[in-house]
Amino acid sequence: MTAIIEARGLTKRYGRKKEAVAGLDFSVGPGRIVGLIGRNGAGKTTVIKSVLGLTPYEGHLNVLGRNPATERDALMREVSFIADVAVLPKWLRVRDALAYVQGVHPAFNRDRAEAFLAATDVKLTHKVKELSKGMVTQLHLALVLAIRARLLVLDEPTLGLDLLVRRRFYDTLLNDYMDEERTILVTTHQVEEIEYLLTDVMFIEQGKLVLNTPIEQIGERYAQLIVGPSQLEAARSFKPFSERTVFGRTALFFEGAPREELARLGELGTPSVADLFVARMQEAA
Amino acid sequence: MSNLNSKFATLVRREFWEHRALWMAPLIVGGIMVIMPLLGGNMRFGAGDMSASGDAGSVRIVSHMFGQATMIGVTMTLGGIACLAIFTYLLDSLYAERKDRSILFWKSLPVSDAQTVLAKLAVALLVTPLLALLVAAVVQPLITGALFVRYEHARGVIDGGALLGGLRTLPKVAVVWLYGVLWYSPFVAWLMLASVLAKRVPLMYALMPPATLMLLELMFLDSNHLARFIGERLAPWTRSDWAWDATDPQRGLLPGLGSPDWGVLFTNGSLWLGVAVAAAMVYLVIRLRRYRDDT
Repeated sequence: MTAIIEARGLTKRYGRKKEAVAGLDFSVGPGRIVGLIGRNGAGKTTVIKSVLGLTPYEGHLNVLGRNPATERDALMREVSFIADVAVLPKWLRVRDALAYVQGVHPAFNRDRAEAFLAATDVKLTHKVKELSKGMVTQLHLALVLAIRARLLVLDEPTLGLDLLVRRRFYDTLLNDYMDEERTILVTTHQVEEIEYLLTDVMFIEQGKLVLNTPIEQIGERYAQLIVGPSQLEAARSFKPFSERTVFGRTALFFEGAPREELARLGELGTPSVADLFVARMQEAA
Repeated sequence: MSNLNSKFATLVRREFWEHRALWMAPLIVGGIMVIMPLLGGNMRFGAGDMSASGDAGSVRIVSHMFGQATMIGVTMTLGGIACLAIFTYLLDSLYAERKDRSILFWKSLPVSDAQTVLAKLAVALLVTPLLALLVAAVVQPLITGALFVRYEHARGVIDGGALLGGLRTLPKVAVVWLYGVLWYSPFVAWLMLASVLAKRVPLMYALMPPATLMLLELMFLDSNHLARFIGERLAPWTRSDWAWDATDPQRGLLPGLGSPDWGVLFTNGSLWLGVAVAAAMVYLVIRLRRYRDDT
C-alpha cells in the first residue's frame, strides 16, 4: 500500500522563531477519509497549503509520489481542492465555469457535471452572483465530482453555511465521490458534524499532532466512563486524562485503562471524536 | 499541442468573461461612431460639390485621403479606448482574484502561475489591441457607408476610393501598434507587478514608488531626470532622437505628414531594452503569484 500523502518532519516557520507547524509525521493511505481537526490557528490550514504546494515549508512531503514544492502543476491534475464551497467568482456564468474547467483539466467529465446540475436548481445560464450559497455549493460539487482526482482536499469547506447545506454537501461527497481509490483530507473545527464519515482522525494543537488514529481504534485505546459522585474517587484512581461534570454526573476519559474494572464503576462507553477532542484540548491547556 | 492551445484559449476567454470592458468598450464606441454621422446635422463639406468642380484625378486623391483620415481617426479613438480598458484590466488582473477570494479556486486547477500570468499578458498586449483593430476595420467602412447615405452631395468623394484608402491605412496602423506594444511593454509589466503586490488599491502601488522617487530626487538632488525619463518613455515622440521621416510621402500615414522611420525605430536599443525589462518583471510577477493566496 503506497501512501497518498507522506509527511516527515513537516515544519513551517513564520519569521525566525514561531513554528506554525512543528515537525509533523503522518501518512494517509488510499481510500481513507482523514479529518485534520484543530482549533483556529492550530496549524490546519498551513498543513493543507503545504500539501498543495501553496506555501513553502521545511521537511519532507510526498503527495501522490510528487513533491508539492516543485511539482505543483503536475500534482493538481490528480488533486482536487476546495477551500470554501460557497466561494466562486461572482461574475462567472455556470456554463462558462464548466467550459473553463473542461478547457484546463484533462480529467474533467462535463457530461457528469451537467447531469449533476440537472438535478439541482442551478441553471447553466445563471451567474454565480445570482446563486444562493447552497446553490454555489452544488455548482462547486458538480465541478469537483466530475474530476477524476485521486485526492480531494477540503479546508473548512462548509464554514458559514447552514446545517442543511452542510449535511447535503458531505452526504453527496460520501455517496457520489468516495470509492476505494479516492482519498479525502478534510480540516474542520466542527468535529461533531463530520465524525460519522471519517475513517481516521488527526488532532493538531499548536502545530503538533496530539492524536493520529483510525476511528476504529479509538474504542480500543480510549474509554469514557460516566459515574455518580459516590464512585468518582474510585474512578479517578485509574488516572483519567480528563473529566467533565454535568448535572452531578461526571464523565471521565481514560487512555489504555482496564475496561472490565472501569465497567464496574459506572456507564462505560467509547468517547465520540468530539468529546475526545475536547478532552485532549483540556489536557493540553 | 492542440491541447495546450485550447487550454491557453480557455485562459484567454476567462479574462474576457471577467473583464467585459475589454471587448464591450471598443464595440460600443465603434457602434456610436457608426451611428453618429446618421444623426448628424446638415454638415457641409468644405469644397461643396467636389465631383462637379474637380477633375477626376484630384477627386480620387481627395477620396483616398478621406478614407485614410477616417481610418486614422477610428483607430486612434478605438486604440485610446482599448488602452483605457487595458490599463484598468492590468491593475485588476492579479488583484481581483485575491479580493474576491477566488484565487484558491483558480489554483485548485492544473494551471501554472506562468500560464495564468502569460495568458493575462497576452490579453493586454495582443488579443485586445488586435480586437480593437478588427473592430476598426469594420467600423470605418460602416462610417463611410453611413456618410454616403447621409450626405448626398459628397457621394463623389465618399466612394470606393475612400474605402480603399481606409483599408490601405490599416497595415500601417498595425505596424504603429506593434511598435507601441513593444515600446509600452514595461508599463504593462509594471502594472501587473503592482496588481500582484497590492494589498489594496493597486493604482497606489503603481503610482507611489515612481512618485516618491521623483519627489526625493527633486528634494535632495534638485533634478528631474526620473520624471524626464518616464515622460520620454510615455511619449517617445518628444525625444530628440525620435526618428521621424517627414519627407517620405509614400510611407506616410497621411500623405505629406510623413511617418516614423521604422527601420531605425525597430532597431533602437532602448526599445529592446524596455522589452527585456518587461520580460524580467513578468518573470517576477510569475514568481510572486506562486505563493499568493486569499490571506
